[in-house]
Amino acid sequence: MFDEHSARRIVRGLGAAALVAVCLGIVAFGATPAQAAEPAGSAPTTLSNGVIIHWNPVNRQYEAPSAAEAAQLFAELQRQLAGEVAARAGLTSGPVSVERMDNGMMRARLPLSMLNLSVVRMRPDGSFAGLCSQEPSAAAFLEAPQAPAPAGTLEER
Amino acid sequence: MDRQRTILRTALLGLLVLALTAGSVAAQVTGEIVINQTRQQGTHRSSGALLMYTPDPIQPGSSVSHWDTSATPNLLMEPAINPDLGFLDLDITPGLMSDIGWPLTGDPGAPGPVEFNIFPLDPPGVGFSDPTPFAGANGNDATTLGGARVNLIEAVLGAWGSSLASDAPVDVLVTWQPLPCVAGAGAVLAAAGPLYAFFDDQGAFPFNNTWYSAALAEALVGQDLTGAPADNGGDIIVFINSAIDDECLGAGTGYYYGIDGNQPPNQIDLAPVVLHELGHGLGFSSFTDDETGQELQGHPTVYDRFLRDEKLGMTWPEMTDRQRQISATDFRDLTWVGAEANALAAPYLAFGMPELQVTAPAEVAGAYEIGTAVFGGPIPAGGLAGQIACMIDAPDLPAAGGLTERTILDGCSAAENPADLAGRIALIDRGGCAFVDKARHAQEAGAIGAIIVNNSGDSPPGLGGTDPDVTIPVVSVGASDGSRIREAACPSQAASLHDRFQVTVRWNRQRPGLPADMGNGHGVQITNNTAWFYFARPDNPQLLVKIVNGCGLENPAWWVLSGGVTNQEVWITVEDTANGVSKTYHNPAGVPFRTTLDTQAFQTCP
Repeated sequence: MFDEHSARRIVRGLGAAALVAVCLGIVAFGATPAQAAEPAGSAPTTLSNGVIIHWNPVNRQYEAPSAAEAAQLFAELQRQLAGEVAARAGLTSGPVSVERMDNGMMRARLPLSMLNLSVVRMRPDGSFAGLCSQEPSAAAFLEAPQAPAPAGTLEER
Repeated sequence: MDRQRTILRTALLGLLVLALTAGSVAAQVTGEIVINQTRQQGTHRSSGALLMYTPDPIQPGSSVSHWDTSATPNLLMEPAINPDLGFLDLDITPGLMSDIGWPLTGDPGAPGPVEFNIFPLDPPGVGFSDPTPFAGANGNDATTLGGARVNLIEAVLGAWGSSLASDAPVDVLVTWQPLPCVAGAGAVLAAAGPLYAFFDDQGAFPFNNTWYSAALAEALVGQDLTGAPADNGGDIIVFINSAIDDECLGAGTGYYYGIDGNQPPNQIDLAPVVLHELGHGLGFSSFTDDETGQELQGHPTVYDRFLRDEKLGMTWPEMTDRQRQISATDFRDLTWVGAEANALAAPYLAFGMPELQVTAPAEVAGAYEIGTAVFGGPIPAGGLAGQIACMIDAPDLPAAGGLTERTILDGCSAAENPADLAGRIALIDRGGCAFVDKARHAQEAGAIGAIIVNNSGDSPPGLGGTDPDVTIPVVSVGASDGSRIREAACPSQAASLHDRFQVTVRWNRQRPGLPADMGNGHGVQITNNTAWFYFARPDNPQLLVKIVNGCGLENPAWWVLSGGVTNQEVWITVEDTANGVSKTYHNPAGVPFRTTLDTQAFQTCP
């Protein structure tokens, strides 16, 4: 029997369905950028050795991961390179966020201060002395008057 | 006034020479500078395992996430990216990757070559889509700069993909940005690393409770774990300095985009730089803090499980933070114990490692790491054997003044003890003058070789300089090794006060988890009644000892006073040579030095 109570249930049901639809839409919308990672019709590159490389479309959203931290890291290096001895706080002990995933694993988002950096100093003869290191050693290498080139020789004394 | 100071300094230093040379006996130290043909370059002197790079604590550089620089031929994952690397050659690196868990394409049952998803982070017209015309380079036929970059990174990823196997594609985020660069000075070339690390305690990975970089973790479980880059996911991030292509280092400089490794001298071959950095992103890296020894969230990286310190006899996960901190700078004692990398290295690395092999006395016998010189004679094929003798030169004044610089063991002027040096290998301290000057002075005194003791770190520096007149072989040793040898080879360095009291200092440094470190203090006489002592390094005074003549006072006696700026265990022994009476003052380990004011020390007046 269709009565007022039934009508309320139907309205509630429609409302719930609408809510579910909206949520599904949000989920679907949220998934769209990930799907865009495999653009339709874009064939992957297969190298001569069989290695396959997929090129994904540029998506400005990808700039989001730790852009501010990267800017801080490189700005700090820029100061070191310019010869200023600036505070290095926060670079060598950047925050690590850890979370437990649904599958029980622990996942840590690593700070960009843990990146390895390849840096070069120009020698007086114009050649390059290189070093790969993390901050702050990379900065120390850049600012050192006589860069301690690991494979090379110290200058005179 | 200056002249008076000069005279005073000269007089004081003359007293120091007397103190060092008179009444003291040095042991006969014999040794041989050799090219050890049974040892492969880049391997540990006793275990034979691959050496990892350990930066010098005084002159820091790079990290343990690299092979040692002594490896020959040069390896991709050494701290410096050397121009003589085989182009896109991963050399022995796949062995290390296999040790930490990466399936390799040649392994039985391994998945196919790893695929890569490249996510350019730059807007159109930048980075990989830069439309700047490109003139072409060997092996790279692109017509735009962006195209050249695409070709290059594909070649680099292809090298990794030909070696590593995985069912899970690796998501690589790449951005070209103007990074630090100053013309004529230096620049950041590139930076890379994993975005995430994973660990599990339920057996998902070969080692429980151990961090794995994202790409490796995904290879081990065969699925994506980080999510899409658009959702803040991704496995590896790579920054490349686009300013290099704008000649930010100077006119004519820039990246070389040829895919052949034949870059011109004023250009930087980008391929090995990116190949190297991607290696870190793929797992050739420890997440443990080198400088503090602290593990990431209290757990080791899988990389750490294969780091073993031969001196401490432990792998990194077995150590305390403090031990790891020390191990991270333990020169040529940190090894890689993974079987696959060592198996690949065995036929790869060249034989012949320069060493100093001390044969006597027993307390200093053993093999020591040495640095070599670009001047002087070569180390003879059959080795250079002889007695190691302490070179003592004239008490020349230090260039910058002050008494903190020892000036009679630095070889900066003609030897005062040529009879001790003739036909022997001279032991000389670093500092004060050019390496070639030290070597020439030793050679002029008749020495057949020279060993220069580093004054600023435990690694033996490579010795630069030019002097065609120097023909003897010259090598270096690290500060700690040199200190041990000096203890035996050089006269004991007591201070003689009032021309009567011999003051000797013995110190014992105890560090948790480390072998005891002992030695004699080195006395530097300041006045007739006062001397200061240093333990290991002359620029680090530790004690002051003073003997006061109290014979004219109510209770006649010689007083002994001392003060210190150390908490090491110390014994100060004062001997009254007039009658053979001696007295020892002890400061326990770990206790701030306790001042001595003993007004009844020697009741032997006058």
